[in-house]
Amino acid sequence: MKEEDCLLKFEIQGGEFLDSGESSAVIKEYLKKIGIPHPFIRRVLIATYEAEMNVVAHAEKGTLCFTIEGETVVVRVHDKGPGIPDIELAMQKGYSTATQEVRQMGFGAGMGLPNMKQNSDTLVINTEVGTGTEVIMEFTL
Amino acid sequence: MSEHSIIIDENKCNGCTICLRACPTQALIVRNGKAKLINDRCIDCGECIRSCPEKAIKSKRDNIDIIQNYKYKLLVYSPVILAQFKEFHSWEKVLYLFRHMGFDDICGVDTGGYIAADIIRGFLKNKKNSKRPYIATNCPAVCRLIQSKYSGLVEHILPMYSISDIAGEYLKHAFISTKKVDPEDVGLFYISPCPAKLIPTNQEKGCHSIFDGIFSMGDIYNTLMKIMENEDLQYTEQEMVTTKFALRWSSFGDVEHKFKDFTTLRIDGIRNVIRFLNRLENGIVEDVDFVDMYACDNGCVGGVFAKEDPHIAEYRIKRIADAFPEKISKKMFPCDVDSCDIRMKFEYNPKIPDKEDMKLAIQTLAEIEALYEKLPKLDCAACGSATCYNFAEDIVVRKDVTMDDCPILKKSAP
Ligand SMILES: Nc1ncnc2c1ncn2[C@@H]1O[C@H](COP(=O)(O)OP(=O)(O)O)[C@@H](O)[C@H]1O
Ligand code: SF4
Ligand code: SF4
Ligand SMILES: [Mg+2]
Repeated sequence: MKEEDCLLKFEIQGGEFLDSGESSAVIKEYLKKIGIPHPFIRRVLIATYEAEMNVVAHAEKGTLCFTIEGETVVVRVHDKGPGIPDIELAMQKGYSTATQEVRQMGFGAGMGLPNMKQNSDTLVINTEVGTGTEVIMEFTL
Repeated sequence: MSEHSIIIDENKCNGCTICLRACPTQALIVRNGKAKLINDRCIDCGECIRSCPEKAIKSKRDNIDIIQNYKYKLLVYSPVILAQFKEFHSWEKVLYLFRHMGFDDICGVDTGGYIAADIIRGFLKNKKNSKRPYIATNCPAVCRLIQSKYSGLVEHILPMYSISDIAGEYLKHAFISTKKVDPEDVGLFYISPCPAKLIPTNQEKGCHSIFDGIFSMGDIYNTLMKIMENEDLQYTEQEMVTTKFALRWSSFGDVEHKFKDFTTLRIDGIRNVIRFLNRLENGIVEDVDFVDMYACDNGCVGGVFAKEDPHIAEYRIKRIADAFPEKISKKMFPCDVDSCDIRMKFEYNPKIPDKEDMKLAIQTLAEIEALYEKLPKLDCAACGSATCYNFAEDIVVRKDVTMDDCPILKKSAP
């Protein structure tokens, strides 16, 4: 997916917990405006929010791109960050490397990736340790 | 098409656009110098009525004379009316005057609150009811807002009638059963604090008002004042069977007291309601069981038809309520009518758009956004649409305006 194909694009700053969650709110409005029913929107929202929060919590910075291809909503998040050394381990419910401080803010329950998997129809993770991570999620109506 | 209580008097409207900016749902436009209602957006909150400097916006209401069409006349009043008088301590006078006006039996919305509290408590205790937070149905403007703009949250609406409807059904049922009269002969009426309650709450379901007539609190206030001034009356003692909690809840939304073992919120003011619904829709509201929301500031004491300042009215209701117990000791007539049950359903049947619908919708949205980018974004409403974004929408969807209708762009054009 090329950058210019994004219907909506957002910059995400690592460590910005307070200002986070903006992309999912804007995406929600967009999907509402084109008449998508709420149960579907909710799936996109939950997964997108988690993907955005992973950049905020674990990476330096990233971009989120939202688009619709036919009847499929595609959300692609790529970041500059530490990458994920063991994806299988990271996908496990409750697994988290979040710091104590992040946990105290109510994040880092280790449910982000499992929730992204559960709420999307396909989830692809490309990651390179030391460089960054790309997450592509597809949701079919 | 749904029914609305808002009436715009074209003779008085000067097209100033003040109401456009007051309306929380962008349900008004000005075309050819006159304000017009967009029916499917209006939630009957009455903000436009409050805002209009020309008093060109009014609400439908019934004329008090219609009670004469019935042999027996019953009245449900919002207790907010008791707080409209300086001598609020003599609330008995007000109740007496209702009788004097011809009503055979009366009760306050607080009676509905008293009945509803235990039913709602039972419902919330049941862990199977998992669509939390549940949203109270006491303010029809809030219910309509959810139905029209937050349809995904419809399943959070408590499947129950509002406490004014409960009070009404209860009063009628008790009267018919004890007096053994023909229901056809009984007229049930309501004194409303607002335009929102002038029409049935759940119109989507074809719900009809249980009331045979609804009066504006302002009109009734005037009538009562006139009687008090012109007639020399011998007031008799009046009884009000109620509780502290029921009076407070039904007038300024003090819901917490009876629900202390749950997490409950009272949210008042339409903009605060909208903010909360957005959060709820974004999925960031956790661990709340019950939310009681009111379009008006401070709940129904802030209703459009209430004359007194909402905080003074709250103070007065509190002082009246002080004299009442926590529990009604008298044996109450059982409430076994429909509305005294968790039974009403707000429906949500979304239509899933197909590929073509979606493509079209995306195109339309792109057109709107592109036009919007060209607009001055002042939201001045001089074009007759509430905001620049609404103006762009109206160019593309409603097609009743063009770019030329933006006076700012016109002025800066070479
Ligand atoms: N974008 C990312 N960059 C680096 N590490 C990540 C990223 N996303 C997830 N991870 C790793 O995967 C773990 C599990 O992620 P997740 O299930 O979202 O739980 P949580 O974010 O609560 O820790 C994280 O703790 C982190 O170690
Ligand atoms: S009643 Fe409320 S929603 Fe309807 S037009 Fe007036 S301000 Fe807008
Ligand atoms: S808060 Fe009360 S008075 Fe105001 S619109 Fe809602 S029901 Fe009517
Ligand atoms: Mg996470």
